[in-house]
Amino acid sequence: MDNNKQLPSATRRLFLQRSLMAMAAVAASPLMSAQELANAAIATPKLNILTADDYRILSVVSDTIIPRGGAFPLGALDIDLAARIDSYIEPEDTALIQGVRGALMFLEHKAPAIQGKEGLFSSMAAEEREALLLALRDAGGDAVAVYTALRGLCLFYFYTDEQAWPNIGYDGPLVKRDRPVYPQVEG
Amino acid sequence: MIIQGHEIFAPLKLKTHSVVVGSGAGGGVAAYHMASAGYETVVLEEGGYFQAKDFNQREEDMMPALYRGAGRQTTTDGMIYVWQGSTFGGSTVINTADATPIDAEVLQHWQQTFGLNELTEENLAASYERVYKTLNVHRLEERILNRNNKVLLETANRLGYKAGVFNSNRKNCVGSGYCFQGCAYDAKQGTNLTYLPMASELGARIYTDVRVDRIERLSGSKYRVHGSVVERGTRRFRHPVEIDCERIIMAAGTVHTPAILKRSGFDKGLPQLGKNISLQPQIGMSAIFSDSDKMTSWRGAPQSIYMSEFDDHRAEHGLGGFRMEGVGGMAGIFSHFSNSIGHDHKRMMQQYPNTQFSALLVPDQPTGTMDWEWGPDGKVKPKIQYTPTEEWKQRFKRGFKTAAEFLFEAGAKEIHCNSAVFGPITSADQLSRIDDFPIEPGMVALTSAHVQGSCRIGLNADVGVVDQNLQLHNLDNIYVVDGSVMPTTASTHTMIPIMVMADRAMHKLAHGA
Repeated sequence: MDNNKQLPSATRRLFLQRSLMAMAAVAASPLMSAQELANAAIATPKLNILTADDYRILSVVSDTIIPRGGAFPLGALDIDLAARIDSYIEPEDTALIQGVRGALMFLEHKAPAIQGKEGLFSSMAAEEREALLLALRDAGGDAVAVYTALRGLCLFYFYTDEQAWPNIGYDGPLVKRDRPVYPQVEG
Repeated sequence: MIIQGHEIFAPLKLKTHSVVVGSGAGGGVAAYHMASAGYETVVLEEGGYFQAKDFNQREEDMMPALYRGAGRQTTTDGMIYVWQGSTFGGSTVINTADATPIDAEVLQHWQQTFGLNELTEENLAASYERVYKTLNVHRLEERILNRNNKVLLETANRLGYKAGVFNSNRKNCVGSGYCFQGCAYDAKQGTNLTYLPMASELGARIYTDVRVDRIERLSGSKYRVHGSVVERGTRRFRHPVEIDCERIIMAAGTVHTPAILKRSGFDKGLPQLGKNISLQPQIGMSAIFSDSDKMTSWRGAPQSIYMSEFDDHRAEHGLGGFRMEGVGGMAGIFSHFSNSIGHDHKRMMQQYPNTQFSALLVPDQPTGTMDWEWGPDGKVKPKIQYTPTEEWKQRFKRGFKTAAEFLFEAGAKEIHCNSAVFGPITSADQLSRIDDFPIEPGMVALTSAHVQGSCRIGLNADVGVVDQNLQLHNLDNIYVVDGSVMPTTASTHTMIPIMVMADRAMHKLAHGA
C-alpha cells in the first residue's frame, strides 16, 4: 500500500472508510453469511451509480462468486467488491449500467424459479446460490449471458484489487501510482 | 506542438493543408511524412494524451484510459472483443510490441486475387527499412523472455515443431510485463514516442481529445473537417471544431474510418465501404503446471514466442492454419479463463504463478461488415457484424485440440480457456470434448486485436475503397492509411504492416514519386 502516500486526501479517506467498513464486517462476524448481509440493515457506502438495492444484491452475487475461505481467506465481501465495481462504472456508460441492473434484477427475482425455488436469490443459502448460478451457466440462452456478465464483472474487479494479489502469488505493479489524471475544465 | 483538449476554451477554426485523423500506426507515419515534406499538418486524435508517468500498470485504470470503449468494444453479438487503442499513439501504445512483416504469401495472394501488382516485397523494401529503423525493430533480447513463453519454444523444439522469438520495437526494455497497459518506461517505441514527436518537431500540430464527426466537401477538392473537442474520459462534447484543408488522411482505424466516411456521405460509389472485415479471432488459454514450475506470466515480454508449425499460409488464401503465442500481464482478464466460480475458481487462481497463458490465433477470411449508428449521446456507435464461417469453426477446433495436446506435452495438468461454460480439460483423452466446443455468442469470449478490412485496397471502386496508393477511389485528396485498407489479414500482428503500407503511400505522396 505504498501508493497511498501519493493519493489525494479525499481518495485516502475513501480508502480508509472502505477498509474500516470491511474490517468492521469481519470483526462483527467472520462467519457472517451473505444471507445475513442481505437481511441486515447494513450501512450502504456512498455509491456513484448503483442503488442501495443494486449494491445489496451485487454484494451477495460477489460473495457467491468469490466466497470467503477455501484456497485463501479473502473473499469479495472483505474488499467491498460491489462498492469497488460501483466506483469504476462511468455514468455515461448507460449500456453497462442497464446491463448490470438488468442482470441483477433477473437473478434476484426471476432466476430462482429456474430451480423451482421461491423467494429471492439474495435470501438463499450460499450453496443454493452457487448451484443456481451454475444452473444458469448450463441453461444456455440469456441465462448464460447473466452468469457470464456478473461473473466477469466480479472476477475482474476482485483480481485487479491489490488485496487479492498476495493470495494468488502476484506481486503487483512495479510502479505505485494512482489512476491517471483526466484534466477537465468547465464549458 | 501537442494541444490537449482541456487547453481549448472556445470553438476551434483552423485552416491547414493536411489533416490526419488518428495518431496510431498509420496516422503517426502519415503525420511525419506530411510534416517532413513541408505541408502544414494537423493531427486529430479522439483519445487523450497520456505519457509514461501516467501508466500505472493496472488493467482497471489503463483500459478505460487507453482502449476504445474501455476495452469492451465487441461485435454486435458480443462474442468477440475488438481491442483498439484510443489514445495519443493509438494501438501502438497498448500492443505487445511484436514486429511482424506482411507475409510473402499474403502479398502473393493480394497480387493473384486482387491484382495488386504494386504491393510487392521489392516495392515495400524501402518502407520496411525506414520503419524498422525508426522503431528500433530487432530480435527480442533473451534476458526478457519469460518461462511462460519459453515453454512454448522448448516444447516445440522437443517435438520438432517450428517456433521462434518475435522481433520487437522496444528500446531498453526492463521486462516489467505491462505492455497491454502502456509502457511506464518509454521502452515500447510506439508512434507516441517516435513518429508523432518527429512530426511535432517538424511543425505538425497534434490535437488530442478531438473527435472527427464528419467531413464536408467544399468546392474543388477542398474539404472541411467537422469535429468536437471532447472531455477526456467521458468524451462529452465541449466545443465544435472546423478545419478547412486540401488533404485528408484517414487513420481512425478499421472501425471508425469507414464510419466517418459513411457519416460524411462519401459511401456513394463505394460499395465495398464497411465490408470485408477480418478479425483474426483468437482465444485465450491457460494451462496449469505443477506447483514447482513457476511461469510468472506477468513479468518479462508478455508475447515473445510463437509456435508456427501449423501456419498454412498460401498464395491461394493468404494466412491460414492456426498458431500459438505466449501471452501474459493481465490478472483481471485472465481470471475469466475457466467456467467455474466459488471455491473451485479460488483454487484455480491460487495457481496463478504456475499457470501458463497462451493465445490461439486462427486467421480468418474477410467476411465481416461494419455499420454504425449515431447515439443519443452524440457518439458514433460502431456495429461490427461478424459470424465465423463453418470452415473457420472447424479449423478453430482443430487448433484448440492441437494446442491442448501441445500443452499437455509441455507438462500441463489442466487446461482452461476463455469460455464461461466449457469446463477444464484434465487429460489428453478428453480432447474429443472440443468437437462440441460452443462457438456461440454468450458461450465463449474471443478477442480480436487485429481488426482489418472495411476500406480495402482494390483496383477500382467496384472491388475496393482505395487504390494502391491508398487514395479513395471516388474522391481526390482523401487517403486511408490504417488497418482498414488490408484486403485480407496481413500478418499475425498488424502494426508493422500498417506502418509499412502507410509509409509507402505517404512517402510517395510527400515526394511526388
